[in-house]
Amino acid sequence: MSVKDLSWWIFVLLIGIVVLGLLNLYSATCQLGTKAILFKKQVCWVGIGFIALVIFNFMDYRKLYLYAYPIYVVTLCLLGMVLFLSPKIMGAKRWLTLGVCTFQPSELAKLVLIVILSYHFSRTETGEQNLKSFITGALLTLMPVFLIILEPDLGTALILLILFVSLCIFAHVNPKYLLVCVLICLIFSPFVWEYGLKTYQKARIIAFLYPQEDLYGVGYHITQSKIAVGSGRLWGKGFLKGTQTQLRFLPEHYTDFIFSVFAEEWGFIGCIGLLGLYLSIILMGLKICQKTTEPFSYLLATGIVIMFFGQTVINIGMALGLLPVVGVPLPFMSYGGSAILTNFIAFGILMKIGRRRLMTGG
Amino acid sequence: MPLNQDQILKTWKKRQAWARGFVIFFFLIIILRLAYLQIYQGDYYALQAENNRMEIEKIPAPRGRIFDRNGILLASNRPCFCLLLYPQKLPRKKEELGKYAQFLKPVLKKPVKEIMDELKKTLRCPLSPVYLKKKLKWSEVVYIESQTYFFPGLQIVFWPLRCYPFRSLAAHVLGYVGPITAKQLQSGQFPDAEPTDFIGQSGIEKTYQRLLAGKKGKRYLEVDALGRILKTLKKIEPIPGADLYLSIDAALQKEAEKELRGKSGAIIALDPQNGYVLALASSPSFDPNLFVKGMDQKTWQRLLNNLTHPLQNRVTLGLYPPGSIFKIVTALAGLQSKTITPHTRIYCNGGFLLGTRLFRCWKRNGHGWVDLKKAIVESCDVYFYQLGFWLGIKRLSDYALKCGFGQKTGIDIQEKAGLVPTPAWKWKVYKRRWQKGETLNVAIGQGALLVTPLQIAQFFVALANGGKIYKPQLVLKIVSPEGKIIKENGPVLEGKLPATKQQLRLIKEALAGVMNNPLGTGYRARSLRFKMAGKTGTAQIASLPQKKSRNASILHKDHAWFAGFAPVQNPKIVIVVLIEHGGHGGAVAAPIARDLVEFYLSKVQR
Repeated sequence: MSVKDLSWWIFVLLIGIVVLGLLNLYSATCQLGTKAILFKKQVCWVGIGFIALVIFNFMDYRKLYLYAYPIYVVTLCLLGMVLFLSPKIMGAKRWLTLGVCTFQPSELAKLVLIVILSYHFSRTETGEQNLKSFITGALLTLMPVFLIILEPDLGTALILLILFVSLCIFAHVNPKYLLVCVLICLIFSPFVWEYGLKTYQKARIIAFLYPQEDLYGVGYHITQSKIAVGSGRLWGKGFLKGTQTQLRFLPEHYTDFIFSVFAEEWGFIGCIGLLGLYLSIILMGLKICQKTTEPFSYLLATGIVIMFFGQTVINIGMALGLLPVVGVPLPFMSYGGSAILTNFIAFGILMKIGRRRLMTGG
Repeated sequence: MPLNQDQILKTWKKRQAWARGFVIFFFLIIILRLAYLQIYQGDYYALQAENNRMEIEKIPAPRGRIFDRNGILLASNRPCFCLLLYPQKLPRKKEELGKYAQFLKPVLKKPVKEIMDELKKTLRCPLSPVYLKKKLKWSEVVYIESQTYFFPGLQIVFWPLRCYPFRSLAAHVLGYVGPITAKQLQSGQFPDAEPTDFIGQSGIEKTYQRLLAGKKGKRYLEVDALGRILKTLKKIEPIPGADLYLSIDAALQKEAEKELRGKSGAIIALDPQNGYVLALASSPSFDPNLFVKGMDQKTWQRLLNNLTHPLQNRVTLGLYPPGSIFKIVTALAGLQSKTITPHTRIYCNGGFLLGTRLFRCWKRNGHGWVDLKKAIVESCDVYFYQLGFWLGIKRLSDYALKCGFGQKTGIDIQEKAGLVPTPAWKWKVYKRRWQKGETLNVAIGQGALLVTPLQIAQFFVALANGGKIYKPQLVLKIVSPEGKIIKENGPVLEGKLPATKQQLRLIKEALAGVMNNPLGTGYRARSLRFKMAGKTGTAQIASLPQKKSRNASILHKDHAWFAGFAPVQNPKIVIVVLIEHGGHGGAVAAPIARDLVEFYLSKVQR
């Protein structure tokens, strides 16, 4: 398979996921009455997303190298604006209102962090990152992380940290630095637990560790999600026929627990198919990384693949009761315009990187 | 970019090999977990989903109570048995549905066919439960409860419903609660709301909805596939809403409503030392209990389309020309702008000629030579025509705005701003130029000028207390269900009347003269027990020739106004009375005000 083909294959598989995602979201929202509009909104966002993908697929992504810092600063400003300007929705401030639609800058921040860290780490002269470079990278990460924790949006903050750590590994940061960081975190974690986390966040972690203790509070989410997934069995209950979803036993079923809806209605076979799509895209993405020609595009492509992989695994792991409940959307499946748009842009860049290799190197 | 990038890339990419294995490893874990949940434990979970469903039932919180200033209960809750229908649990087959209708017939007391239609209608929104009947009798409860096993779609709940023990007393202050509408549900303002909820739809109930509502409790139930409750797993108790103590004095309120019985009109009494509302009555009124119980279409239409508008709060939403009461504003504007002095005299011969048009005084023969005090006491129109002419509309309207007219007072319930006309306003609305004659009309409180009785009262509070404009307030304090005071409202000073101490003293003397000078327009309604001050007003509805108006239909009769306070030294109550189509203020409105003032002051002094 040539690299150019890789980009096209990713595009085809992506359409597959998007179509499944829309069908699934329709099933999840059609019973909601007032919220049925969510499906229409999502269709609009997918349309906008495809346009964005095409634009970024024809734009020279190396412009991102030139404008990395301005983009980063603008994103920080947007995150700051969220804290001051946005209304509280369900106890959190995450949205900026732009006319008719709302936008969640923290989604964009994931991609922007990849760009700024790729820019930063690719400027090394030796291939090894010295302490100064590591600390600068950490600061670049911690600024948006801090703003996002204030919103509070633990899930996104977690994704940003994962991106930082994995890019450090791929950019050859001395593992000693990372180990020291982990140690410091471990030492301070009791204090964070005591003073940093909100009550609902603590409850989620406790509920994950001991679900049987709290069957009807936060554990309710996990229990209901497991019942939904498990009751799908081999072949699923059929499209629009999931009782857990349609009778609204499953909470947050169009965002965080969208996978449970899919698993209930499409069964093990359907899940294997969907996971196959995700896995193929990730492996093809890694191949594109392998064939890049300069450090910046290498790190950029790797970061995008890690973002995609990390969100997929964390979201599904959470729905299956493997991980605690944190708000991480499933790419191209969960409801959410900003996430959809960010993911489309990211794949536009990835596909462009894949095609560029052919044009220059042959 | 650095030059030796090829080399750097080579070393970096060595770590790539790990990545692939890492990814596949995680996907394997997910697939294994899926297989475990869906295949190994699939039957177990399928059974859970089928037979052992968990359901969360909301327990409504008792709404906060509303008291008057002395702790008399004006609004509380009474738990009642209500019959709820959950449409998603109804059978889809027609015969089965027929059984429901047959069963419900003796309770709903309607023909089976009508009940069938009603049931079918609910199926359109299967997830929103519907009230079939409220306030069930005990015999009906027993009848339904004994059969619930066969009719899982029906449920009897014992919920606290709003009740207003004094029925229509202070109905316009309290407002009413009614079922939440589909629009309100969608608006997102009530995130915790269910389709069966009642929310405040007007008055204090609406303004303080959030505080009064409390927080719902939850009951976690184990339910089978048909929705039948197997057992209660856990219960979180609801938190009742906060209690409100109003500044209303229920006894005075009752007396005021008694005075208005059979008439259309409004009465408002304020405490001149802080702006608290002592009584706020609007007539005709309504019984807010009707909205809780639910009324049939006919009753509702009758309330809504009634020509006398019983639902409208005339004190805050009724707009009227203020008539002669407004002369006080004109007088103060004249003094403040030094257009006149207290001693300026004007000759009244019964009319004022502007160009070719004659503006009449209410007294055909004229008042003769009039100074300011006499002009107020005897309500001479010509004096104020002349003064209005000298002032011009700009100065007059500016001054009226500073006195609080043409803007909302800031009271806790819905109100209107009224209108102080200006040439700019007229050009914007009618595209016509301002006529000089209109200024004269405004000067005596007629023309396009519109005020609410509340604005008049707010203005008189300032006249009574030496110039302080207070925000009229209805709520004294808010008390949590445990009895802790959440908030205590102090007086809110909005501004000062633009007038000096001497000017206000002069006006006060003139107002006292209205009631106590034998020539005063309110003399016949004077109080023998307390020294009152006030101003009468007669607001013309249509400018008909004077003779004809006596036989004119009731709707063309003038509005009777009175605004005043007592005692003159150290005022304790400001009162405004408006009787729609009542006739002369001095003859109709002033005696009512006197009775209420005497009632209140003798009660306070005791």
